[in-house]
Amino acid sequence: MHKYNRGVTIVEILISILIIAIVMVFLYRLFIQVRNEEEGNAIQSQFVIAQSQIEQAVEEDLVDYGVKSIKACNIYNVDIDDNSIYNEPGTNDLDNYKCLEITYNTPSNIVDNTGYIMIYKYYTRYDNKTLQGKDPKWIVRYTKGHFDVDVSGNRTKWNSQTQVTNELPDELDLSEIPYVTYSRTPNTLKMNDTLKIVLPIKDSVGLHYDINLTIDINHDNEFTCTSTENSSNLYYRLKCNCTGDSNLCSSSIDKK
Amino acid sequence: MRKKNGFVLVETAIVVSVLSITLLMLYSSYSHILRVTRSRNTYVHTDNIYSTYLVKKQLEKYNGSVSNFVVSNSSICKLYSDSGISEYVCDIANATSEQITVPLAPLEVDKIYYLSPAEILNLIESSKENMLMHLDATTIDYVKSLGNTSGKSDTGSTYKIMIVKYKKQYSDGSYEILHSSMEV
Repeated sequence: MHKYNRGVTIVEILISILIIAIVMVFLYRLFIQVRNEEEGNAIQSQFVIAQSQIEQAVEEDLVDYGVKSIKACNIYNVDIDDNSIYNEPGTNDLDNYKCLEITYNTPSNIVDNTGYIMIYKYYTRYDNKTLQGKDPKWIVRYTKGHFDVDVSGNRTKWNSQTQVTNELPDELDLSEIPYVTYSRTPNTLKMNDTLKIVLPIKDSVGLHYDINLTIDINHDNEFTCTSTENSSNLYYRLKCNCTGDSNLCSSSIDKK
Repeated sequence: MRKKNGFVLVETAIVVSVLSITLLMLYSSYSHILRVTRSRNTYVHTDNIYSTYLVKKQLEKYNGSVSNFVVSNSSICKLYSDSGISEYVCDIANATSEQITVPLAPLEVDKIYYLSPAEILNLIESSKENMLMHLDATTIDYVKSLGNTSGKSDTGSTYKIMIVKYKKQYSDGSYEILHSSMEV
């Protein structure tokens, strides 16, 4: 008599389900790990692209015109619509906003001699009924142009010649203050002086994606750095570091 | 005699599981390779390109050309050679001449190398190691990443390039080493 071995016993079913469940847990962990890696890559790319594009835009102007002065600024005094700037009570984002004003050594026939590099949060959209801003995002922006001035000398309207804007990831650390490092050597030495502007940007794990701008300073051109490192407003702080001749350094730093 | 046609459920489940694990592990490796490739592509940051151009301008202003600078300033630049191939290593960070260090200080230049990666990487192994040992570890990685065709023209003749090593200090005491190179 033949013994028929058809079908599956309950023990086999239980064991196979158990093995499949163990394998599925392991696979799920792997899947989450791969997805997190991809998200990390995307954030890193976003930082690098924003950093590179802003650096390229500003360096073009620095190389074309040279720099005359650098100081911190208040983003509410630049050309931005104040209602678009994110400023919720109870948050300290405003303290971390950054604004640098660069005045270029443009010839007299070129009026667009001022550039602003800004990092702030802005509303990407508005509620049609309540006109409340929504979806705030971090943004880094460079704009170059000039202000129209009325008869009293007050700035009226900003005329932008160049504008570059990039969104930054939400995982942002802007706790470090911007700084300018430059050299000032006497005319008798053969070398030009150099200048470096640093706008520190870090991600949530502390990796730096600073905006670094370098340019040489001709001995014939005056340069002033307005130091506000002790300002009571955190967003208004800028540190100026000068190396070289002490007299030339002290005359080039304007401390406020 | 017992006939066996087809597969039992357990065999099928095990096969499917093994295939799935293998495919997922391959994909995660692929993702890792992509990430490493991207980080190598951004190894030279945009700002370093401008800084390296400024370094070249400064050295040319000081001594006419980068080659004149490395040859004329033996107190700053050390010459190493093997099998007819030479390289210069200039320790800018520890140089005593303020005429050099002060203007380059804002750029955070640590060292300047004047060499041809093609010449060095195409040496026999012992000579290559002898030449590479004078470079910092990060610089060795950078020279190898440039490859053995860097510093070599289409006609086969070799020329030296300037490699600048930057040491960026951060406020928390940490620092980052970066390299950038330029034909001079």
